[in-house]
Amino acid sequence: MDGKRWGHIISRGLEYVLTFFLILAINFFLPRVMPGGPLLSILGSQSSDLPVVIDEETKYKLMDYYHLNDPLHVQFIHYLMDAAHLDFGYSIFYNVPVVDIILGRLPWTFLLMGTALVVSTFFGIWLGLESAWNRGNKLDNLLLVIMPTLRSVPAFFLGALMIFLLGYKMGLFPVSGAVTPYMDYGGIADRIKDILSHLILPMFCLAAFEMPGTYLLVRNVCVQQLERPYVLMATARGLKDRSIKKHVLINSIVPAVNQIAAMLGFMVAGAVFVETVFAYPGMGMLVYNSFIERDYPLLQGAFIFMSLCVLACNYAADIICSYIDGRTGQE
Amino acid sequence: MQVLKIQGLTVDFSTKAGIHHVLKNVDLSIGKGEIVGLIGESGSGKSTLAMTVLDLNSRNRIVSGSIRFMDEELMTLDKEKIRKIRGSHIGFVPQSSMNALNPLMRVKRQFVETIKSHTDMPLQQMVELIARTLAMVSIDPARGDSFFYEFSGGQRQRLMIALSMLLSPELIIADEPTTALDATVQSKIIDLLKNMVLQKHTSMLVISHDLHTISRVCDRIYIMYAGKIVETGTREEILTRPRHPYTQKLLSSRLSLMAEPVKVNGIPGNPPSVLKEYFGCSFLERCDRASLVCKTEKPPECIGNVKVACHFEGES
Repeated sequence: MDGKRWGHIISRGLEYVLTFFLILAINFFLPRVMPGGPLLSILGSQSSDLPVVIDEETKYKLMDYYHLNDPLHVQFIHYLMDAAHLDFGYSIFYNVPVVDIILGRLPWTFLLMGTALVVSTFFGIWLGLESAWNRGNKLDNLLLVIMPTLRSVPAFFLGALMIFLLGYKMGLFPVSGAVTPYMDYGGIADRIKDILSHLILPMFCLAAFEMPGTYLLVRNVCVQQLERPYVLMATARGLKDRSIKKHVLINSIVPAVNQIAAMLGFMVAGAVFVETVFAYPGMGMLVYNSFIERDYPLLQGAFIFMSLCVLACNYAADIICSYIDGRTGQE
Repeated sequence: MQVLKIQGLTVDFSTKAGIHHVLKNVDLSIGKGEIVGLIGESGSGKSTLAMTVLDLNSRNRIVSGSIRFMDEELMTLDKEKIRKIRGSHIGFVPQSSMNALNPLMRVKRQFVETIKSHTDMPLQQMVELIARTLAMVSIDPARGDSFFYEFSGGQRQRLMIALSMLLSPELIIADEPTTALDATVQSKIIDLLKNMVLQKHTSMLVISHDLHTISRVCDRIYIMYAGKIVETGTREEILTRPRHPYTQKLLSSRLSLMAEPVKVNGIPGNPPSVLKEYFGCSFLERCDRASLVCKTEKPPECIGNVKVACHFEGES
């Protein structure tokens, strides 16, 4: 049984490696099938405002220097080798290695998205289970109205509202950034407090964006599970409500975990809005800014890191599920 | 003392389609050590009776009458007290045992959990009790660490029997315990149930649509039709001298195991709708002996000394 599980985990891992390879390939080939060339986008064409005039020989030398005259497959191999060394080139805007910028931003995104994910998953599962358990009565009906409404409010609007009410009017939380600039911290506790107070608003905003999906999914799965014979039998053998809920939850958690992992991509998209609204220095804002500034190397690097994170989370979800449900991968 | 005494039990369910009259003025009693069969076709209300005793169907239910278990009125008990009775004093063997346990939790853990919900017992003692009970249904106690889906259909049913008897309840309710099984396993399960009842000194209510399979182990039998008890008697009375036309037809619809094709004498027609109120006899449309009186008057109720709910009882 354990051998089977390891076989399953390894084969899933290989699938993710393949997926990641495809993402790298798309990331490499997509810009190369677009019109224009790298020099054009950096130096501007003859028709742009400030054309940089260079002769053909310099152009060729430059292209040669960047290996852009090599055949595509050779370029692709170079690209893969560089990617393996975490070398994604230099940012056009900041003129520093892409990977350095990204590594500086990643911790903030992990902090924001991680806490939002934990909060939204916890409340989504809890409310979903209670809603299904009390299906048809007031609590359930109320949540069934509130949750989709919350989902339909755009994250940037909710964020702006929170900034205005909680940040500006009431002055409860700082309105932007991840830390107070140029602040002298009395100690580590002060530093943590400062980071947390900056985290709360964007975190709740992102969690509010994510939670309704989890809630609706868990509620539906739990309603289905509650009709199962094992639930009736659990009641018939005199288990307490708490224990029965536990049984239902264990059986609902596998689709829920899978779905949450699959929805991570949308959360990344949500993070772009939320981080921009709160000026939170994470990957989302990085993507937004580098898009505005047409900083293609940075944009590509950010995409690769984000897809890597989403894939890793999905893989983690697969592994968790195979431990919860022993039948996974046995058929 | 009667272990279970049901009097005048009437159960309706209100749905969007209207009120469903499922059980109508049912009287049923089970004495200590008795095995009582409740026989009827699909939709006659047998399972509803079992569910109502255990209070498993309270959604949209309208109920009246009395259910006394060990001289305690169940209808007025609060939820927590009913919960404590379920599983420890009344064991339940479900209709479909195929998915009757959580597939993601090891079987032994679910047995332990059942004991823990009712009594405080040291772990060692629990493990011994479970091993002993599993051995009684011929399942290797070592397999307790498996998952439920890793057992065969017959084994799952035996597991459910073991689970229902775990805390030596005074009453076992077995709802169609053999329906999902093939013929050879069926008779084994029936014999096992009987043995367990004898060994554990308990009583049992067996619910089935299959008069011929179940009757073998029953002391007394109730025949149910359209939410009413139409005939009751000892096994001999029912099997050798059936008096209600419905019981007679049930007995003659026996399918014998023969190689050549045989014609089965079924019962023509369908059971009546639970949505309608009937003024006459509810078996009227399917009965050979029906006459004018069956249409206009309700037959006697199967209560007290009345054993047959038919107008012609005592005439022939």
